[in-house]
Amino acid sequence: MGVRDRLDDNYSKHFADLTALCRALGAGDSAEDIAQEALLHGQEHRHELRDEAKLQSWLRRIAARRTFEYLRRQRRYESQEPARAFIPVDPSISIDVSAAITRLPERERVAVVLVYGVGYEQEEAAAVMNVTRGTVATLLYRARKHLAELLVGYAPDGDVL
Amino acid sequence: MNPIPHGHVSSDHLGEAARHGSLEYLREAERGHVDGCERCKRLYAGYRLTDRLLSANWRQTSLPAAILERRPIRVGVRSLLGSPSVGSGWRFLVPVALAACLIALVGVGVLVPQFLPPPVPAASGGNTSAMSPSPSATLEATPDAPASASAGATLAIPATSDGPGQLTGVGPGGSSATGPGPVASHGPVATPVPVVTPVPVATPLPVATPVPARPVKLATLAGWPIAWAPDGAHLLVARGSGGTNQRQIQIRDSAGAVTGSFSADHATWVDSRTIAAATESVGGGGGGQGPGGSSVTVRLLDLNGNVTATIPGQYSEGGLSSSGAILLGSGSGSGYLAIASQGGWGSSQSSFLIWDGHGLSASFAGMPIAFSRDGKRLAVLHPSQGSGGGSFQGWLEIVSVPSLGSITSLYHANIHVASQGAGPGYAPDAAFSPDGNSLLVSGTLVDLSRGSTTQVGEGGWLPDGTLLTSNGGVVQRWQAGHATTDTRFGAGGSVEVSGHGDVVEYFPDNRPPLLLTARGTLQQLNLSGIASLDDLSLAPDGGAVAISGRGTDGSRVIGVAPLP
Repeated sequence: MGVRDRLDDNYSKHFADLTALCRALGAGDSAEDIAQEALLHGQEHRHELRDEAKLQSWLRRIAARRTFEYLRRQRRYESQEPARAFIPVDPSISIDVSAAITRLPERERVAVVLVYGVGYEQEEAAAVMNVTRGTVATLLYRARKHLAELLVGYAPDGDVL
Repeated sequence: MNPIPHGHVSSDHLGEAARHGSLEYLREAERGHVDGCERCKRLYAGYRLTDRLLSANWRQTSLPAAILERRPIRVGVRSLLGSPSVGSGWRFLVPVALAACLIALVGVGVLVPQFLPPPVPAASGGNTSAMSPSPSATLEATPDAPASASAGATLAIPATSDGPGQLTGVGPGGSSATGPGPVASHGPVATPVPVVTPVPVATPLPVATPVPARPVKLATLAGWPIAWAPDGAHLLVARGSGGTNQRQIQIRDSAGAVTGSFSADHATWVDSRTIAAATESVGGGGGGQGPGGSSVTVRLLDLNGNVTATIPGQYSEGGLSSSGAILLGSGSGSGYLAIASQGGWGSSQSSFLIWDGHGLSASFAGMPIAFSRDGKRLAVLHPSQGSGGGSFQGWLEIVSVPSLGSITSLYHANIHVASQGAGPGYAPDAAFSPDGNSLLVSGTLVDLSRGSTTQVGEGGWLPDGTLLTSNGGVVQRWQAGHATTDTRFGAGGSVEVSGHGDVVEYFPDNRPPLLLTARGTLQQLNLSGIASLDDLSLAPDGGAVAISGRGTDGSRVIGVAPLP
């Protein structure tokens, strides 16, 4: 079975997977469009994929790259799009605590979103980010440290120790 | 010897201890230090909160503007007043500076009006000047205030023979704030008005005199209307008490003739030709029973009341009998149906499934309250404490259908939604705008793109995306955050809007209802034998109304009538 067949047979599955990824990375309402473009790009450039077993991570990388390009364009033109973020939501935690995720350095934030938000394994996140698994682990370690510093003073008094 | 005589416990050690959830993972000397060190204690708590945060469910959420500041508000203030990096002198100076600013602002507020010309009294007085029908005012930009839609832009409405001009601040969302004040050309240019909740602008539509219509013959219904079919051709009417004594539900056409009937506890329209009916049964064993020992079977029926399919599975629902909430149809050609799943309806344990015509989705937390018009989006309320009795509150999430993927969450907004309580239908008071970007929920307009909410009053959407509401005793048209008083309607009524653009306003007193058709003709509805109305439901196609009211002899009348 070729790449084209595998893309056609699992179109819905890939589309849902890529849409969730794009949305998590901040594409908002454009997530479905970007996922669609990524799948089309995958169809057209399928000959570039050397290992068919890596089809999914290849598509994810394309979708992630396109999302980052989209976000760069948004920032360049100071888009008036409303601010939306993919963040952890827990009714017992204040929204400004949840929003601390958005204040992380970009690479740390992406690693956290992919691993904790989307539920990727570190290897999968590394493939999307085009870095090694060790780099993802380091980014996650730094992100946790940064978050802890950002959230100093937010914990309820009884929760200090 | 204490290994940490001057410093603090390293962040790594605190992080590791927090990961295990106990300071026992620290060395004894480190534990001793943390006991007396506020900074280490707080960093440890920060790690604990971080881990709790990272393990929560993630969703796409619209963030309030204040949250978008690069620094958290609380941390920002704290860092000015209490951060170790800020010297004690600054700690003293900051409150002094704030107090000085406050005094200066008060001074400006007292002194500036003395240099302004006295305000001309408003023609209609007070705040109602903004809604007065008199001026044919148009918004014009003054040379000092270009007509920009940016935040705080100052626009002036020139004075007319009927009254003074007004200053209007237009916010980034198109919201405006108006108030009586000096005409811009009379004196100094005023500072921009802060953006507040949108209020009506003074551009009412021309007054029209309704034409009395010939009497409309009413067909009485021995039961309660539940729901109109999406095409308005049929109406479900319930009789009986439900529960173990099942209700009879009739299918009637818009003239009131019965086309079919069936027994069920709850019913709704899946599409214009398909009805979903839920039947509760007590006992019988099996694993699908709720806390009360009951289980629910969901069937699909045609317009004659014949069963065409049974949705597989049995759904136990503890709160079924009391809440009447179990089914919500998409009401569009998509034919989706939301079915309450396990858990008490209206509680934080509420959950539902989606039937897509072929199979069921996995269970999803929350209560479905409205499908978008194309059926591809679903608004879900995540109830918080205090919900019940036909009124629910909580935070809102928009999900795609049928995948139930989260599109956006309005976690910060506490939304109230009223619903028909005990009864055979579940009818949350919520409706998407035609473009799916806004939601009207029990009088609150929710902008799903911006995450903002505005109290606008109850009403409905016209096909072009205009929102028509009854708010503060007048009927208003809302477009892009601006409201215009529609003086064609009377004061003090309630409005019902059909999907085709017909509007009916009805009144709690004995005034006859007004019908404004999609073609623009206004007429009085003459419902034969009816003295006053308590409730009115307009068919989605605008072709008929179901009413509840008092007859001319004082008796209660429930009926349906085709509209002229």
